Amino acid sequence: MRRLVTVALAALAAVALLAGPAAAHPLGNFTTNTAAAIVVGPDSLDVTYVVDLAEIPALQAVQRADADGNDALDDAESRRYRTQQCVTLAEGLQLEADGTRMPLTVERSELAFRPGQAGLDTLRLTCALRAALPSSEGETVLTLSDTNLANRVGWREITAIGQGMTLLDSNVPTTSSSAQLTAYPQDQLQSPLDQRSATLRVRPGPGSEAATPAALGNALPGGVDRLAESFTALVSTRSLTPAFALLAVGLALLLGSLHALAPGHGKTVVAAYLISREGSSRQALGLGATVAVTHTTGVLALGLLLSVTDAIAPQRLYPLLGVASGLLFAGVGLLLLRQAWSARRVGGHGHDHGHDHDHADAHGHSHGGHDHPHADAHGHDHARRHDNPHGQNHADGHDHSGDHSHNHDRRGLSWRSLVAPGLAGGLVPSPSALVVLLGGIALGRAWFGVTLVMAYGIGMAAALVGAGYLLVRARDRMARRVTQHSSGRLARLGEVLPLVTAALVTTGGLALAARAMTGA
Amino acid sequence: MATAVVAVLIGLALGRFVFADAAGAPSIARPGPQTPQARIAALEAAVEANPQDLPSWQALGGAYTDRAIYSSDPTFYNLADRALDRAAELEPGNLSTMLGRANLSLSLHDFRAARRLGGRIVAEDPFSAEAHGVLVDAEVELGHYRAATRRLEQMLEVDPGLPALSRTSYLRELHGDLDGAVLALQQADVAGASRGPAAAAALTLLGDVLRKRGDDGAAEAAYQRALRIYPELIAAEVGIARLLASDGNRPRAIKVLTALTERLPQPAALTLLGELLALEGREAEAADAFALVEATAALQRDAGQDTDLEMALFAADHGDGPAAAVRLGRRAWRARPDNIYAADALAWALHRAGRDTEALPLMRRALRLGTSDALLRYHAAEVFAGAGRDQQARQQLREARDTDPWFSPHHQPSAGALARQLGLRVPPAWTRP
Repeated sequence: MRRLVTVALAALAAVALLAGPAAAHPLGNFTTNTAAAIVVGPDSLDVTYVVDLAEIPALQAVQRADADGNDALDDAESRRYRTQQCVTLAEGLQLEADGTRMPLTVERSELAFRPGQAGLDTLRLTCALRAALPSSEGETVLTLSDTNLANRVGWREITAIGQGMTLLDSNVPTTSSSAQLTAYPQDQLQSPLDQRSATLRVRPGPGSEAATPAALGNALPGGVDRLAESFTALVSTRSLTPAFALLAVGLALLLGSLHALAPGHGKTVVAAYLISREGSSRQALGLGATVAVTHTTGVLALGLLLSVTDAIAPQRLYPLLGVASGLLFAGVGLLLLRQAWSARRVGGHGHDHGHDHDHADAHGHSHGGHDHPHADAHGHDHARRHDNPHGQNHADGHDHSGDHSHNHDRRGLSWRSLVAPGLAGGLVPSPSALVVLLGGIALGRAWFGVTLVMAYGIGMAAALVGAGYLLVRARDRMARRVTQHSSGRLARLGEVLPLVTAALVTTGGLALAARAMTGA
Repeated sequence: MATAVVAVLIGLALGRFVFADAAGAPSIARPGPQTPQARIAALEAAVEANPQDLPSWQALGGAYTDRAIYSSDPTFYNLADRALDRAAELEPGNLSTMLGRANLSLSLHDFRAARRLGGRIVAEDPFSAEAHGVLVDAEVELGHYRAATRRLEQMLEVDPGLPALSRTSYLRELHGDLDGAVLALQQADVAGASRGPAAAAALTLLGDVLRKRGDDGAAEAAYQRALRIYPELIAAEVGIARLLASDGNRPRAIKVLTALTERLPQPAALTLLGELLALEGREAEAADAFALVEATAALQRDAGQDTDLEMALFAADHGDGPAAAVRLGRRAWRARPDNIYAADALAWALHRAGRDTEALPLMRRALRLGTSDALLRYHAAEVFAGAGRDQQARQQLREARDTDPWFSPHHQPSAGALARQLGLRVPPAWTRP
């Protein structure tokens, strides 16, 4: 736990360092500024193209985009504007690989407004562009020339890094000197940077040292949901009043829980785990907390990792994490299966919790006459305690002789047994949470971004716990019925239930791992 | 129109025009014709290499001021301010730094500060033609035309070059001597007083005076020559757009101005564009152009520039309406007591607010030099007519018609209506919708 906290704090510190304060346009209220962040990957090239319009051009852009002339951009107008602009801008970027023109396509686009001077807004358009690259074992010469907005005054920046590709030679820097047009150098009087073309010589190999936040955003796997995108846009648009901050946190909670309820997030597995472990609602809460902490830490750690090193391409990292998460689930499932099997062989004990009918007052009651001074120790599994004398899933090797007095050990047992599925559930940082975080960083509001990611994790956990809790209730109700009519099919079902759910956990975990491996 | 006049004014005020050579910076290598951006970049590199380089800091302050005027982008005022602060730290009391500060004050429309600084420089260095130039401009803006003329005579004695000749031209124009004004600039042109971009700027001024005199063909030739010397001179392009509009080629003028304002949204160009669009019935686009003018004005205020005079006229014609116009006009009049254009702006605002009797004495002050300016005369005609002085109104409107019937696409239709009401002959320019 302490280590997790340490990692989280380190990640927070790094994130805070990455973010610069928001600054006015030292280059002028009339300027049109662009930054192209190139990320060369093994078989594709990503360009995050940011256009930052100072107050007057921003107003001109809004006037053009405002089709109905009501001086405000509605969702449709704003979507049309950013889509059309990004397509045009992609055409204006001429990318060649060894002299062959490679078309860039728009992966996604984002539009945000930030308050500028004199009560006016500035506009920030981000286009995530991608081009396929011919795979080559040898060297490739890539050139990118930016013919966009040629006659406008402003800052022109190009940066390039490799991810899984080594830049042997590059005429542009690896990092942005303006933090992707969010913090222009102010310590000196400076005319705008005017970098309009890049020539890179690349070869497969280890990547560059540093990545920029926007480059990271670009390197996310597909499927970042619309909701998260518009949320980021919303957060970046408004000034940060306390009321708005609360609203944003609330929205992040909601977004997180919606994300968890979307298919394929190990929910079923977690729920099945809770059932088979005969967990209580309190355990469900603990499990949820673990998911929240793991997920938040995971997002922050990934943010940190990607910002300090480029040895790992996130596109590669995601499947790995997915496989790890799936296998972890499968492992937990196998253990459960084994326990359930033993319990069934011995028989009878598995029903102890049938008496644990009321969850509201379940804390601190006694099982089998012994007292539990620790409220969180009550949820342990009697069946396993009695019948798994070898402690095969516990590294601490404590006593499993069935002695009822080792409360502390049991408490540790119950927590640790939660960590594995919690870790599995939160291991894969959700891309939309990462987008929220990176959005915060890019906008110079890193701390707020971190807060939002935490809220996101909590929302996610809440949804998982909620689902788990409902299932626990359902299971208990069923178990009660089983005890009441202990003859018949229901009783047999009650007996095989732990087996079925454990099998479900195992297959679910394997399915998740397989899905991650195939990149679905 | 008002903003265009002011743009020319400030161009004159600086004397060095928008592409000025480094003021009092003998140590700077004199480069050939250079864009303002390139010049600023070179100077920034110089001060970065050597932060103690006083002449480069001074020149940089001047270059930023020029850039602010050239582009109408007020951000550069802040940069100019910082560069001059740095120069003042390096050597307090340096006259060149003070001159840079005086020029910055002029373009921020703080004329009293400019006059104070100019006076201090002249007291120490009576041969500073530029300081005399600052004093001429400050006195003109403050409405002290006789003092301005005296200062100009001193300036001409020190250095009868382009800066002095352009001021001669302007003072003649103010006193109703358009021919004399043209002559002064032609002298400068013939004498080759300046080459490169500065010559282009002088040619643009010549074009403006010729256009005001109704000499459209000659004006266009002057603008074209200016653009051949320096293709991106926005004032010359705005001048050509005005000629196109008066030539009845409104759609082409709109096209030219749209392209121009896309690249550089200058208030004068935007105002004209908005007026032309409104006349074409493209009201929504016109409103957009006017909104940009107001946004720029807000930024200018933010940067410490006083734009009350220009915005008073804008508010009266297109913007926030007569009440706001009167408020702005009063502030402008306090900042430039007895300046004829400040008097005109306040009088016009009062007229739009229906207060012609209050406007009357101010209008008379505005006309006292006998200035030959069709817009001013038209304003006067409306005020006189509104106050029931038809005889004087008729005289002023006739003056406007004979000077330049194409004075303003926006006002021409109402000028036609007033002419009919007063029983004057209506020129073709005023009959078109």
